[in-house]
Amino acid sequence: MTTLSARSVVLDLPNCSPLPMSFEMKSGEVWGLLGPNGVGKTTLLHTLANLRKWCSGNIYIDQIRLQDIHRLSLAQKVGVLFQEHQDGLPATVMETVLLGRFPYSASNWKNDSRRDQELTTAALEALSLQSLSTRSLHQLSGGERQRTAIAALYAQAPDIWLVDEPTNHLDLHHQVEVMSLLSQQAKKGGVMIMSLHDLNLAARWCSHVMLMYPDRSILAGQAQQLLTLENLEPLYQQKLVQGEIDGQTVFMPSN
Amino acid sequence: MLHRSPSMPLILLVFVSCATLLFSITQGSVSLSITDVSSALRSQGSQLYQTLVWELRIPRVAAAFATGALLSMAGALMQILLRNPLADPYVLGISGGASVMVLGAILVGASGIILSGAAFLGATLSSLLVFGLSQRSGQTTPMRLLLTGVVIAAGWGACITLILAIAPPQKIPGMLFWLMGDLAYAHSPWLAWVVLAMVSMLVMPFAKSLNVLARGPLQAAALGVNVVFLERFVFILASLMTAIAVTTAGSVGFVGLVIPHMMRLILGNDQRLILPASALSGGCLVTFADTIARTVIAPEQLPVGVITALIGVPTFLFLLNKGRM
Repeated sequence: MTTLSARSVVLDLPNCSPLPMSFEMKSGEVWGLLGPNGVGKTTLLHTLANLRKWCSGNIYIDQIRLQDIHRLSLAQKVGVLFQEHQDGLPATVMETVLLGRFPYSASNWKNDSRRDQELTTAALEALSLQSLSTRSLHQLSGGERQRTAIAALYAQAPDIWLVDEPTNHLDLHHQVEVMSLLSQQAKKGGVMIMSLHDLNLAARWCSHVMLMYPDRSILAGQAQQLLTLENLEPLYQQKLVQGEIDGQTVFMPSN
Repeated sequence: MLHRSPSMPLILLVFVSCATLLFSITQGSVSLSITDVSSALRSQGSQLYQTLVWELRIPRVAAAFATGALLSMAGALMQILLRNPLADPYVLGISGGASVMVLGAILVGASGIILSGAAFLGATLSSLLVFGLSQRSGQTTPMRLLLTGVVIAAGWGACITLILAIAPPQKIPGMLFWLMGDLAYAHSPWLAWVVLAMVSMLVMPFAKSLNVLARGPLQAAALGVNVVFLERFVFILASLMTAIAVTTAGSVGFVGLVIPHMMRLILGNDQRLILPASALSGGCLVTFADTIARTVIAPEQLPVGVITALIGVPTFLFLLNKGRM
């Protein structure tokens, strides 16, 4: 059982002084971070991984302050999927995915353990990348690179998943595959936190949402209660319509 | 490629290195046979050959090997530090600083060990300058570091041209030899070997972290690497290696750029393998190039940098053409 909690945290954002936010996220929950561009979704995810300083307040993982956790044990607990993948130097898919095991085998001369190799193989399978495993990242399409990054995160096997726009570059089939993979990880005891732009993905897969408004306090709670037109229209400054198809709530922009 | 046993290519390279060293000792203005060399190494045989082997050939060959090894490892580290496959040990202006100081010293009539001192001083000053100027609020991004280095290098380039323009004609050949890289003034290879051994021992424990750093600083930090420390550490070690190499042999070009690339093409991207393999093959290349440089028009000598460039340029174009960069 893992708990991630924030108490009156003020993010370090460049051009506005956001209001303090408090929330608690637990194992088994799938959280969707929703909000307009530039509101701080990525900043929040980086802050929760201690990759970025924040202005005030405290963040705890299982009641331990985030700053007090050693970086390698933190990397075993918390994994991040970045929105932009840097690939200046060449590497193959296999090498990249295996790097996800680094926090467990950081010591140099230990050979990759059985568990490292099993998890890497499982990760390649889960993202259907087996046939690409020896390909160089440079030769991959955007979607294939995104799946490689998700596979590396899968191999890292963190308790808390901070996933920045997981469906970027993915076709519809792989969007569904990735979203169901991530929600399975939550069912297995992970805390899943993802920033999303697609309200319909949030409505279908997220148990909880956090609505990040530029001008007022966040709203965090059960997805069913918060995903309403009254909450979402001011969030995006956009008129919306809501409907139901096949038992699923869907949102569309209206004219 | 992280699974493959790393020892085979390295063992092979150690054999190739030994062969290259031995071959180079036999070559020169007086050609020796393997038997002559082996008896001289055991302090037997003709006194002349013993002196030749122990006092001329071995120091020169050892200096060449160490220079190549230092430059190749520094190049491999710089490419990771700057996340730029086109980086080489000189990209941050280290050799430029050394060159300006050495040319200045030649201009005022210094020679011998003072030139080495001037080279080291210039290299150190230049790297401190680049590192200091690239800091902003305690942070250095690779792009800032690269731009600062390139601009400083351009500044040194202008100073070099200025010195060459005002230098008396009889001093120009010495200056040009130094600028191209020349092992004729390599007095003692031992400093280079000590630094090579020391740096290898320091950097190898971090080889796996360097694999992670190659994927970008944020990704590395998210996987538990102490990025700020590692980047500074790599900068200092790469600068030190380049400074020592430049002190030993002037600015020998292309080794630090081409060798790490070739190793990556052949052996994959695991730094645990690439770093030692680069050191060994870089050593071989410079030793071989220097042997050609001092035999092809013997008793006259060519600067070794000319030969490494002649080998390096076509290789580099070949790699570019294969589209692997």
